[in-house]
Amino acid sequence: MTKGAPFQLELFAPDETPSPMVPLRERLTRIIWSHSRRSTLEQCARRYYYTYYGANRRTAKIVANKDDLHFLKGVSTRHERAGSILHLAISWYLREVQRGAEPGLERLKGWAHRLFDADCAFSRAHPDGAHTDPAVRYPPVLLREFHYRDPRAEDLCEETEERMMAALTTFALDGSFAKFRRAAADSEATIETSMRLVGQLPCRVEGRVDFAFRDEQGVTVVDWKMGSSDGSGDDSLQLAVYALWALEQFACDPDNLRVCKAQLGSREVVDFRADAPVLRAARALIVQDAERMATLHDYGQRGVVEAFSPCLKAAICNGCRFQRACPEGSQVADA
Amino acid sequence: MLETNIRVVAPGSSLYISTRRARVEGPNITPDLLQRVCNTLRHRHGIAATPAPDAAPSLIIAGTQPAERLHLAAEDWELDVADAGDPTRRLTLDEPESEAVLLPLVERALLAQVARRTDLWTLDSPRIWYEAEPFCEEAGIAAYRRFELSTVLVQDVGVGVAVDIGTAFFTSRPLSYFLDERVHTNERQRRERWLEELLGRQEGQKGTLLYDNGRSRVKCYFEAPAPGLTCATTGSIRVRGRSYPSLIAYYRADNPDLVVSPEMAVVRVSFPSIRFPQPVAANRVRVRVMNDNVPHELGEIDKIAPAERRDLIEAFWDRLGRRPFGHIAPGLAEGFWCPPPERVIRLAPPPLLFGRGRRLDPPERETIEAYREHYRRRAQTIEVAGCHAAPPSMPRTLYCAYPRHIGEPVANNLAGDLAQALSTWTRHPIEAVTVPYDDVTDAIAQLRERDQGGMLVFVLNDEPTAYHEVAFQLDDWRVKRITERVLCRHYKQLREGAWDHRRREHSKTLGSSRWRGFVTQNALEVLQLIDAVPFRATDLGPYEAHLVIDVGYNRRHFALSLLVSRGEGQAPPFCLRTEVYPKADHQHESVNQVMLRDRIFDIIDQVVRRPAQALTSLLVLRDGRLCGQEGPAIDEAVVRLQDRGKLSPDARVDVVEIHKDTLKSLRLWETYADGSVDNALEGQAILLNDRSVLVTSTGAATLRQGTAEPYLIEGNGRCRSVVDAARATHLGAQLNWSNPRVAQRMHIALKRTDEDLKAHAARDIRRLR
Repeated sequence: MTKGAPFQLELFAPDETPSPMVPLRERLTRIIWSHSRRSTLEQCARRYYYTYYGANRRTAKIVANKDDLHFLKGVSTRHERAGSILHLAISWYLREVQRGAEPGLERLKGWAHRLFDADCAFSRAHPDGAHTDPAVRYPPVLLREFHYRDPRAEDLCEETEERMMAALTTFALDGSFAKFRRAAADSEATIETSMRLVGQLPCRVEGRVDFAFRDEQGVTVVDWKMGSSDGSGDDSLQLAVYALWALEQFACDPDNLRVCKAQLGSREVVDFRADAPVLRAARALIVQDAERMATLHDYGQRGVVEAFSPCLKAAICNGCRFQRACPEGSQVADA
Repeated sequence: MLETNIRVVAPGSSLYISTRRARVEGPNITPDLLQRVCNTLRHRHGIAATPAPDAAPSLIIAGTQPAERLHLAAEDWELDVADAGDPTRRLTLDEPESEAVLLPLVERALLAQVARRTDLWTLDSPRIWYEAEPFCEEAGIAAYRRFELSTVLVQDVGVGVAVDIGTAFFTSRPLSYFLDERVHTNERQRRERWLEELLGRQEGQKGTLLYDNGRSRVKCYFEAPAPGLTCATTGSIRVRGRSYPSLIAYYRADNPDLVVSPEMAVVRVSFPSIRFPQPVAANRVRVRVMNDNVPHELGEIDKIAPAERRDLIEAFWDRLGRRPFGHIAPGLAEGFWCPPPERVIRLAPPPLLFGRGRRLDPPERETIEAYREHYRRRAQTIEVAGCHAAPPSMPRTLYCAYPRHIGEPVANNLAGDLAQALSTWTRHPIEAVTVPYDDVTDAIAQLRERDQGGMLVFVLNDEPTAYHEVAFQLDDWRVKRITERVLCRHYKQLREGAWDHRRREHSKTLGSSRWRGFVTQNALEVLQLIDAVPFRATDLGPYEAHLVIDVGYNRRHFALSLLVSRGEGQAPPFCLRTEVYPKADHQHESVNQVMLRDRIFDIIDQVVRRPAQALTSLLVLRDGRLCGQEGPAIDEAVVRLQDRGKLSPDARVDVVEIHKDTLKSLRLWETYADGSVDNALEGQAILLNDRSVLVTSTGAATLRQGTAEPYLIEGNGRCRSVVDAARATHLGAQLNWSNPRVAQRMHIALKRTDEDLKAHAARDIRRLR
């Protein structure tokens, strides 16, 4: 709950003490904000519930289908999985460079190919999941397309793999990204690291930074994207958060900071203008998101799924890993 | 005599329409898709159709002949429509589904004829039509007449068609003019600044554009200029599943006659149905200028008096000629519909209570002069008697934080005048303290150093970030925001005079008067912020409490406002409380059932505290449509409140929808024996049918320009008497605290939710996603 204009008019003093309300600031301290959390909430409040409460073993403990939700949380769409593998592969490549090795394109692609192939094979053989060896470092992931028996699963996954391979080739060979590949040689370059903003905001802010380094021109933060630029340019909250992190982490001046998206699909580097007004806007937006999350938090903890409306958008429901757990979403998808 | 802008479809209550049922065959047929199919049938084939009200995926089509089999396709759907083979059915107004089927068929038949017979064009709604040419062009802005059409069921009379007139503004020049890189730097900067003002981007809006692709005009939003980019150099683009090497190649393929050239500049825009921003030729795009951003030369052109409005509506019907519904209905009954006396309800203002026990009775006579005097006396009585109640512990210092660069005299004038007005009304001395600041963070730090919380006027720019920071950091202060732009405009008028439209010159007297009005309005709003009650009504109708439910326009917040008004012996006797809550499911207009239930319970629970007497009656007003699971949410909250003794077990609970915008495009006015036409007196209601009442709280006595805008109260089966609800809503509008001289259009609680939701929307960060 937020106060509007603080116009609360009462002529007589109340005889009853109001029920204790936890102040907003205090409620915000319990919220963990991340870009993926906010994206999930933006897309569908119900999916947000399933992901962060229903499937979470530590919250909403009375939820009857918790095991199933937990299982579904582990299911990935082909796009999500390809994105994860792309990031894994690139971080492996950059770490190899950092330790002085010369990683080749074939090894890079081969590794990514094997991972994605294993996912497809596993999903094909066990569309409803199966036990995997916990000792395996990169166990196969069940793909949503197979789990939901999409008749086009094979074709869709093949197409996605092709895009992933093309993106990796671009990363390893294209001149637009040569500077980034070289920069990994610096032992202080940061590769695939978790980030946290400390003391800047009333809620906790967490995330992962793909790649960051310092050179003679200043600090650069790079976010790998498999697709093409959407033309939206400088409106990425995700990059603004990286900028906030980099300013703190590298103690650099905003003028010496470059934050960019490496769009491997369109072979371009899209820069983000991290000026003071944009960073202020990012902080404000995170607080606004956190306020929204705080409104839902108590319901989530108690497992009140009805407080989280399903989005009922066919495009979202048809790609949702929790589709079969969501009665309303299933109806939309079946329509 | 009261007259509406409704024309009744002949032959009135005996109207019938012959209909055929058509099957719809295709995958994934949703209600939304059926509506799109109906739009396509009307648009492409001139057919009036509406989804069948039963569950079957079929349409009801107006006409006697079996519908031809049609294959329809768009980018994301494809289906067939074929006659179902059922016999032709005559649909009359006596049948239960007549409103759901007959009204849309009449409306769509009319829309098809408008498209066929006139040169009017539409932009974002099939019910809103624009003139082909502007009726006025000034200061680079073109003003177009706009016609809004709707149908309404008038009980025992027939189907009514309402046409209303509006004004839409577009820039005369395309975006290529504003973004022309070839002009001198100074000129380029001037044009860019002008563009920003016209787009309203300083308020965080993207700016709405009109894109003319040579085939149709469509709405889109400004994303970014594309410096150096031309139609030939955009690189490949993909449109409707096809790739083109450049924008110019797409134009050449799609519409060879379109006036575009390879070297033409490009701008990036976003379309509602396309995910990513798209390049378009900048000379094909013009700015849709919102009324707030229209230059003062055109500031009053959209105020259309009833007489002119009536003439324009008549001209619209004349333009359509005979049989405006084609073969669907014979035509229109003569003249506009005038409700008979038994359907007209007069809504009088209640007695009002001010400070020092002063009471202002309603006007004795129902004349314009008596009503005007009554409203004037409301303002005078506050000045003389002060406000009805002011908290004894109210702050005695009014802080005014202002950006240093606007200058101390502006802030001193504002703060001093505000403090003086507040001192007069509250009868407590109020000291004004000005706080110059360099940035918002600096201002917050200064204020925190001076006080722990108090009464504050914050002069801010239009940036949502700054507004958010102030609201979040100073959440224990009572903050009134005044934008720098508005303050400086008024101060300039005070110093240099305001433009007098009648005399066509600047007038210092008018400037001073406008400043006084500006200060008074802001002081009254500060007064409300500090929990003072300027005046109250002795009676707010048949309900002890009125609860308003409202959702913000971007669906990011919803608000509740509770007004309680009852006898002085009861606790609380009078109370207004408003809360705004985040709304996580912005995809939906409806409020989540659990959230709404719990928040309704909370707000009433907090206001009616033990040992307060339980509320015996409650009117719930939903601004807009009661949708989703909101009805059950209200029911559940009522049960819980009754269980907790906050609402009596036999409490009367009525729920109505209030449609304050142009959903039905309805108007009413007074026609006199001498043929003149003017606004009706404040407080008129017309019973349209068992479930709908049209109410106008503003009118001839205090409305200086334009036509009164009524609102519609609809019962939808959850209200014992819509007339009672209309009466209560009108009484709630009598608390016109922000401007006592002028009748207020909306119920105070609705005004409050509306303002608070707008304030929250003004803080929403939209530049990042």
